[in-house]
Amino acid sequence: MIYFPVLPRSFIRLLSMFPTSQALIYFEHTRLLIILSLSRKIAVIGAGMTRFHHKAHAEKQSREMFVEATLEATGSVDNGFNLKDSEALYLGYFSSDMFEHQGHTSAMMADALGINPIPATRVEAACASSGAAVNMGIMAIASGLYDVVLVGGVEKMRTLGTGEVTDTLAMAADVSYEAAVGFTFPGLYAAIAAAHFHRYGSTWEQLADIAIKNHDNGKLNPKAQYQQSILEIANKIGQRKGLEFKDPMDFLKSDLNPMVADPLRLFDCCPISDGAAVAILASEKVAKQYTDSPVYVAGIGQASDTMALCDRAELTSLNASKIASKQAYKMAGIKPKDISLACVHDCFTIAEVVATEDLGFFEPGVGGKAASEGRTSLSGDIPINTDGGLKAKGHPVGATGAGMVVEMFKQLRGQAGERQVSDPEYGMAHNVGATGGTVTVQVYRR
Amino acid sequence: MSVYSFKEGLKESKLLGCICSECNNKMLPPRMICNKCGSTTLTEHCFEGKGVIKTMTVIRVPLTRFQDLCPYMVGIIKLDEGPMITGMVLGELDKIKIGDRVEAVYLDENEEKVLAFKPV
Repeated sequence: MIYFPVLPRSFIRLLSMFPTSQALIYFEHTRLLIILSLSRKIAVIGAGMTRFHHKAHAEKQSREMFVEATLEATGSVDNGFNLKDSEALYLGYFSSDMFEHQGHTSAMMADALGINPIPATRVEAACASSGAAVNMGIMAIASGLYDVVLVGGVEKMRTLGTGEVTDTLAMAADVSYEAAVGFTFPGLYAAIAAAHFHRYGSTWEQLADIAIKNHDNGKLNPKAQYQQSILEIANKIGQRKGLEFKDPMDFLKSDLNPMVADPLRLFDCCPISDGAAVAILASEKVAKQYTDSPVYVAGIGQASDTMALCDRAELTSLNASKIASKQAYKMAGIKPKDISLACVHDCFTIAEVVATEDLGFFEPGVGGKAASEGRTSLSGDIPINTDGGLKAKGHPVGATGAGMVVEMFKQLRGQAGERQVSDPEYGMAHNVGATGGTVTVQVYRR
Repeated sequence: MSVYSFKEGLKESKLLGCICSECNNKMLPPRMICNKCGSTTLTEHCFEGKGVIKTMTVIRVPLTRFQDLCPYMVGIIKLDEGPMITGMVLGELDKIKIGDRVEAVYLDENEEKVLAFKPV
């Protein structure tokens, strides 16, 4: 077997962009990992988002949502921010083509913001589109090319019905081999869940506990699509049928929570949402002009994996999550236990279980049990998805990774209101494209 | 070898992949570069299509073009010859499970051949 003994040329080019960086190169699981420290310190100086919602943005296109999120981000900069200070824009948008019949949305957003002629680039990495856009913005500043960069994401999904949205999302899977035999997106994660249950004995009840926890967090987030506990939703739905629920689990086990792809039921799946989120990044030297309390980028990571789930050595974890998080931990010089809170990509409840294991918070196989024990709740030892996660906050695909940065910015500055975690130092944002074909990670530090 | 040749194979009820001339790695679907050793010297290989269900699910909210079949089962099959492949799973709902042995069959669906596996 050949383990790429010579550095690929693209990596050498990347290395040369970081003149003062230290490069540590080592092999692991036959994969090449290059850990760089960023050559310049980079900060988030502002962040904002629209509410993620299935109805609220009916009269807006993506451009209006993106402007709304950007204006909130500029408004959050302590000493004020002129949009014309932006030197580049990286936009995450998964499928403007299918949802709005519109391509070239990066130039469109720069136009809508009135910041032409700065370079504007759309990044597409399925549900990790804006996580990747954030990483590209960070790398662009680290390269020395820019000092101030806008990064963000948007998705306008409610232009299509549920069937067409299911078809569009399935395009993030391998269309020729996975969608071709009838696999849907929930189906792929259901297959991961079934494999996890089979291997570790984890249970659907553990998944339900995650949905309950994320709704409890979403209730405290004014930007969340669902600001109700599952029990409140249960009784709202139950009222119409003359039913009363005392325990959310009774509702979740009932026919009112139908099976989507066994073992995943409706409340194991994130909703379809419209929304946008934006962060303003700056080099340390410039950041000080804008704020006395920036949130620093301590480390980043990104990895890819096979398009088709069936080509993975393991079906119960996402290798790209393990690699991307190891890169970010190394760069930040910390361990998983140092993370105070994390936003992980819970497109389905099982994805949160797998993520908390892959990111090193829990041993493989015990992520579900840990959630059921309350260890990932707001008062637990590692609060996960304090903003409600994709499950309750919503999942406008291309906006999700940037939406996580908004939560990191708020939490690490102590501005998260009722859902504020006590005295956090490090926060992690973990954004997954499809079934882990792309994973991006950032570690933020106050 | 290509996606096209794989799909053409399905039309003739064949599971066409490839084998690496350098390291004997068998790949399904076919690839242009060996995913083990990086060799580009690959030749066509017809798989027998027998294997074991590694994971599976029942799709109850389908892709629009599979609406008529819903609910239907899909899964990931570990073939005896090595690789894993995605396919529809045939058989009685709630009876078929992870670990069951299956073999490839080729369904006519929407004027296309769909790879499926039925219990042995």
